[in-house]
Amino acid sequence: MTGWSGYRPGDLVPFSSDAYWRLFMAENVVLWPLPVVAAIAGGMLLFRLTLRSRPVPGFPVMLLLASVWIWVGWNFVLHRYGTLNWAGSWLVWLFLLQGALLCIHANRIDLQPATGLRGRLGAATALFGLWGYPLLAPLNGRSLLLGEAFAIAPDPTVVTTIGVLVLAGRRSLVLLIAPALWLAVSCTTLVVIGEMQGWLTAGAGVAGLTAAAWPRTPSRVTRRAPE
Amino acid sequence: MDISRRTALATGISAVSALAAGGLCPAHASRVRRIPSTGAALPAVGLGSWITFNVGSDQRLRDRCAAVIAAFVDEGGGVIDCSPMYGSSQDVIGEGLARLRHPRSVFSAEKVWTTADRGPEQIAETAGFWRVTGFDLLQVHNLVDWRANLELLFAMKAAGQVRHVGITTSHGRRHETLETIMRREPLDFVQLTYNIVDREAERRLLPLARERGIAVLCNRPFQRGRLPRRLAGERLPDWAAEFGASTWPQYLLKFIIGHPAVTAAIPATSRVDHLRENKAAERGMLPDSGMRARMAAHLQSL
Repeated sequence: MTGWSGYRPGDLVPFSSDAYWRLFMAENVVLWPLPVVAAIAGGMLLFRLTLRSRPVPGFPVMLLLASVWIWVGWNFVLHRYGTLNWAGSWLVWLFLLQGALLCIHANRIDLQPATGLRGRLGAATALFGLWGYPLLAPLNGRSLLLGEAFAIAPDPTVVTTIGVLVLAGRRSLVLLIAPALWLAVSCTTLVVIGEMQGWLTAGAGVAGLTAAAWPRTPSRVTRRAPE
Repeated sequence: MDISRRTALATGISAVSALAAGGLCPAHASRVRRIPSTGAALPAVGLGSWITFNVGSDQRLRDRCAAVIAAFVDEGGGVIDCSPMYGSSQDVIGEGLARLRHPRSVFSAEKVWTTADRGPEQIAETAGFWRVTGFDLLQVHNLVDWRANLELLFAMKAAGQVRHVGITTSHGRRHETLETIMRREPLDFVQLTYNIVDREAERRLLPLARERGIAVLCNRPFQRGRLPRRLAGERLPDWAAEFGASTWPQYLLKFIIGHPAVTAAIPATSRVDHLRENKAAERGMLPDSGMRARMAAHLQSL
């Protein structure tokens, strides 16, 4: 394909909001009860992480997130979203790349307690991805069955990941690139198909990304002792 | 679509035209236009598929699209236009037509949307989605790699693999390049954006199409639904009855197909009632140039 400069964002979103939301319903039905299990288990894990007073090794959480990114990319972006948009076969690489990066960096990351404004913002962002996102469907007048769930749909997975990476500090900056790119794609898509939820996604993303990139107060930095 | 079926389409529509010309206009006789290069006839309201038919593997939505296609055929058929850019739309159209056993009244219009070296592969893939062996019209989508792609399509036409060749643009983009191509190449069709608000094509392209004997398909007749939504709260003027428009979408479509250079408008819809409302616009009177000017002025005044 040549001549991409001749296209505008609206030209690259070839589906309606109706067809888009029904993708999530199809996934929720096929994978039931995974949407509920993932939200509950993710929330419990998040509380366990954030309520601790000391940093913990991020290795298991990063590996878990890596597997979720690869799964969502392969299952939803390629095989579900890809039926509506040819770009799905390109965007899946973003998810596979993020999965690989999370694996590579897993051993270098510690998760800090959710203290201070930055930590609380990270925890709130992750919680919004886990528990808030599925509720956006009924809040916007759609059936709960059309809700987007962590580990099933891209947006809550990405927002939850950003929230967790806030707790990981600035060492994880490279891990924010793919989430930022996906959120840009997703927000544009939602706005083009006339869904105001796009701005909410943008807001959550910008808040989380800003907090993640913000330098941690030196006195609060706690690193693991070298082994 | 099997190319041999096109002859039957042209013959059938010609017969209806002959009835109409003799004052024996049946209730479902569509207003038809001739394709200048081949003389084949086409109903003036076709069916686009951008967004509306891209429903993936959702069977409920696919059934809804099939019902729209069935209604389109019931209303007399005509151009169904699609592109490899439109996601699952090609396959959805193929399924809808297969359910109807590929009716002869459908004029299949597709596009090539890649570099020319991949063109034959993409066209074969497209034919597979439509469940056909050839198309009535193949167009270069959005001027992509247009020199090489036109060469490919003209070669296919010479080999009898496609009946008509065309090129498309939309949103009023790259009209200067399009004009150059229209002057130089032996095109059968050109597709462009033309509606009661976006009228840039009136200046040079539509007169040139008449001069060169190129059929014109008009995309975005409703500005992706924006125009009917904007007009929803407005009262249709009484004088719209003079040319048989009873709704705003019919008013908008009759403005387009009332232009003598226009062969067909291709509105997209996912609703059967809207499809029937659109197809009704091709029947009855059409506005002349004076009335079309009044229609545009009235719209501007709202």
